[in-house]
Amino acid sequence: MKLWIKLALRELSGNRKFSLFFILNFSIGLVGFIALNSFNFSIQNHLKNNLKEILTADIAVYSPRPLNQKELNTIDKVLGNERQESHQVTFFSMISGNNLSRLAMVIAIDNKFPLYGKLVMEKNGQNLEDNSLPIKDNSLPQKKPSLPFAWISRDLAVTLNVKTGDTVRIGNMDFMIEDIVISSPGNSVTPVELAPSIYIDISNIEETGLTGFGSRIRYARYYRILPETTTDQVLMAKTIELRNSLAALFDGEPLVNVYNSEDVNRNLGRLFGYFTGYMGLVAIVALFLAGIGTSYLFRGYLNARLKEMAILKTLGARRIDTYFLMTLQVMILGFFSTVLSVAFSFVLLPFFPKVLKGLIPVNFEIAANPESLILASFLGTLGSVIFCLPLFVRIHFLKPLILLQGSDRSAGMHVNKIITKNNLLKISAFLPVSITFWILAVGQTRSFERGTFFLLSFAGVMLITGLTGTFLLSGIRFFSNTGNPILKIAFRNLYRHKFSFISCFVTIAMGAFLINVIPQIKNGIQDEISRPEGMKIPGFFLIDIQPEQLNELEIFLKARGVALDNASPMVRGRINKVNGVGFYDRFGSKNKKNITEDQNREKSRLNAREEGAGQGRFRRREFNFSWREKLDVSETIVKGKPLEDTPWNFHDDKPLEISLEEGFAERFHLEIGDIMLFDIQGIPLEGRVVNFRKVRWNSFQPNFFILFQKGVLDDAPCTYLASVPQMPASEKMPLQNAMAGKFPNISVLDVNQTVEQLLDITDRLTFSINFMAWLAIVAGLVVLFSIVRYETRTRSMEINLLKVLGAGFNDIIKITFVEFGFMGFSASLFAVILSLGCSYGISWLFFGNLWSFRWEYSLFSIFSITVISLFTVYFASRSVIMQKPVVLLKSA
Amino acid sequence: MKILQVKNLVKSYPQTSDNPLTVIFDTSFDVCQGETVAITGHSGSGKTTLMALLAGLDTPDSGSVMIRGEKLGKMDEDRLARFRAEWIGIIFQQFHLMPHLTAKENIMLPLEILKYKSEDIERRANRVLRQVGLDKRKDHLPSQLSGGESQRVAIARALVVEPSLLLADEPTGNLDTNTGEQVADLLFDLVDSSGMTMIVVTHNIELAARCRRNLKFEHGRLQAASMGN
Repeated sequence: MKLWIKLALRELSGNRKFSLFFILNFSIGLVGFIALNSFNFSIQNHLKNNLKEILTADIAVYSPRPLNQKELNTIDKVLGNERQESHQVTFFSMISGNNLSRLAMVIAIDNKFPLYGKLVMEKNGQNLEDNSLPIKDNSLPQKKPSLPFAWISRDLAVTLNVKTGDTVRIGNMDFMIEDIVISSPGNSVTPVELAPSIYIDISNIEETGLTGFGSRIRYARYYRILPETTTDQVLMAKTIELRNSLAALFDGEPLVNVYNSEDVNRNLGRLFGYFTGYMGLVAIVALFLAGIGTSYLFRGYLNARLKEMAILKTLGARRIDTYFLMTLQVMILGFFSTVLSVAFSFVLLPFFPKVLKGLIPVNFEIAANPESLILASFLGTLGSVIFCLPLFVRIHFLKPLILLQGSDRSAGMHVNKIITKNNLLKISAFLPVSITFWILAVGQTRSFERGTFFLLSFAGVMLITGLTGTFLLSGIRFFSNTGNPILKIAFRNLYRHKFSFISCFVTIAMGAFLINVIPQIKNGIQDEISRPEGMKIPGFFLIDIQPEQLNELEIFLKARGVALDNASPMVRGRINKVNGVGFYDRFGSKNKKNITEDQNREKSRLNAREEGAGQGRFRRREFNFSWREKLDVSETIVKGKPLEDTPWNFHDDKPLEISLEEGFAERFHLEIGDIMLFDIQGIPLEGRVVNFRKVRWNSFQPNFFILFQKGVLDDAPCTYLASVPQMPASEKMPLQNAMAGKFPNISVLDVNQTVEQLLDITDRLTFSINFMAWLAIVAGLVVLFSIVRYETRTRSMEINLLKVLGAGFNDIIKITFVEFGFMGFSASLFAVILSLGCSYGISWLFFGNLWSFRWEYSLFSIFSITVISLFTVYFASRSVIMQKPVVLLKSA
Repeated sequence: MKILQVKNLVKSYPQTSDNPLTVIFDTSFDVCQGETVAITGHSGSGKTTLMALLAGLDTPDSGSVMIRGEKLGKMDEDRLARFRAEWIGIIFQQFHLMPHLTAKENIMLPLEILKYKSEDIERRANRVLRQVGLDKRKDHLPSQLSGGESQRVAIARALVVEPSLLLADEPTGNLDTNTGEQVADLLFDLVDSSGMTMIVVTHNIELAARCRRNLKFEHGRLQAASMGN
């Protein structure tokens, strides 16, 4: 053992260039993967350690109305008396202060909030000498100020330009700002903050006048179970029991929702999972490309070492000893690659929170964790061996006889001959690499299907690229029939070195494909978000307009030269049955009184599907219904017939006609002709689905999943949604302030601000994904470097002969540039075409055909990749090209 | 005592046409303990193939090679490797030294593979270094050694395990006349002093003449045997 370790180290130190290159190359592939996994592990750990702080309780019960006595009794019965309890009410409202206004989330809390975690406040910190942020005692101020107090988030304070001691208005009531919230446990993880938070005393909410009909209010009760030693298993059992017991009180889908920290973990884990999963797949591609480079480097190294291994065999080394020697060398290099990539990834990690600001917990800190280091070591040491494994077949067929058979190169050629005849062995040697990548892909996507789909797609793209490369070779052969000696030699070199051409072509094309496909998809989405085709994005979106305010609002706006557009009534109600089967029963258990954990998981899965479709955090219990005189320009019927123009007659036996948004119909498995039973404010109504609509949600116009025939909802209590057209930025804030003053209950959403927020996040996500893609390109270039270096060395005899025959340095350079410039150009051109096709397909499949072509980016990437390829080739081949022919003759 | 017995050895190589190319035809001969034997012949006569078969580096189509009473054909690859390490020393025309190991380390290598004790390795390596006159060049890498020095290291490496049979393939073929003579002198001195058996494959008549017996090969057949000086 000692001998082989010594030999391995000596061989590596004797081949420093190879060792350094191997380490650098593999670490480039590893760095993205390790950084991403470190981030992933850190965030998982953070969530795991802070789940209760994020939920602020062991168990939380949410409802759209205050709980009734029966429900409270059920809670008492299941949770017992050994508990702490905190109540909360949340809703969105316009907040005014300092002549400015802003939509905010009002969080009304009691003096027990939070049961877990701390509110970190600004005011106390100013009095502390060490300037550290103080922890606010979990209680409301002992001495209440003259006005009701409010704690506001820093964002809101900045937006309204207010400070501690100033006054803000919520609805009909003024509040004094008692302190500024730096972070709060419940809000420490927010996917995208639609509105900043403001905390008030729960006893003040009635006086704001904002809790009337039509307000979207969420009531929450938080429970901390005592004693503190209560295990997670007991908490889970109590959660399930409470969920089942409360569900038993409802005929249909329960209005009350029970959550524990595990649910929070699942929801948040999924959120980060989507992002990191996608980046992880790009990182896998980078790792794969680096793997190709690594194995190419190793191929050259191994060929040079075959003679030495043959010597060792003549001196008594067994076959296993030679395997061990090479494996050990690869593992040592892999280990150092890990060390380097871990160092690189630590440089990268601090950028994650910056890029993902707004998407990750406020107090989240990335720390080195053993899991990611173990994974890194595994990938570095064993991963490098797995990549090189197909080449170990060469050692298997090595016979010491080659030592009696001439030059060093004959060793590799001799082994090549044997391997070529053994297809089964060749294929089986690639199995471990394929299986490893499949496991990584499944691990990254956390889904067997998605991981397999990715791997197959990746293999498909590689196959198409490889076939295109092969097809190109026949064209190259044709090009070589030219009178120009430079072109002739260059093109002949290309088609006579098929393997190296196709390897280079595939790796460059894969990297170029990655850096093109993502921006192409993004372009279409970005264009659509910022300026949907044929539509004008409104300036403001107005929510919760009471019917009696509609006229007054219209007059108010008209007086300011602004129109009120698309005022759409909105009625809340429930879907009880579809074709005679309970709406709830169609997705969950048949017997809701005995919901098992498995069924809960199934329900969560369905919830996840709904989330994936962008429906929101929780599964809907109530839906919003509306009706229209005519469809908005942002919606079109894609299936079925338009709704009847005539109003529906209550005394008619015929069911009312319903129009569904196509995504909604798909999500809830609804078909044209389905009979649906609704409960609108206690009145049962039966309707038939007659059409599906495609809705451009990004138009920011009031749109609904379900539209009813005219006349159905005329008398139902409703609120209105509406929009206000674009206007100069200077006029926006005064109008918003005026509306907030006059109509405090109406929520005004600044559409531009929201679009900007979305685009900002999209940009940051695109940046990080592009970074990974560039990593893949760098890995591809290192492959190119490795291949060129290897090829120029093996072709040094030919280069030397060319020189002896009269070719000058410039001629050799020209030949090399034509050869590899053509390769880089054709690979990047092909990749751009392929990426355009794929991005169009993906946009058509997943983003409703939102696709736009930006030729500048494509042209730039073709140009830059070709130029970078040429530079790479120059540096890789320079040492051989610059040598004098006599030196090459000596070495030959 | 017969240390090597070759019986009815046949070796051929497949060709692109159906007829294989036979390079060794039904060859038999014995070599006794302490003998020095030269195998001579023109290029392509089959002498290097015979050398490969004797060293167990290649397998015959038929016939057998028996060294110290053990048939090489019956050994698997690992057993053969170990047997070779213990009983057969091989010297190549192109030296075949490990480039990243020093002269001394190259010499120590077979002993280390055979897991000798470190003090034995040290002692034997130093002794053989002195015998080949390279004790002052022991820390040099092969690239820092001349051709003659490299071949002396190769000879030392072959002798350090004190093999029963030493096989040398054109040991002076890559050296100039003077250096070749010096290396040959050294080789024969060491073999004589140790009573080792040596088979030298060569087309160098002078070198062959220094062996006790000369086996001449032509077109894969043993043509004649003659006694040397």
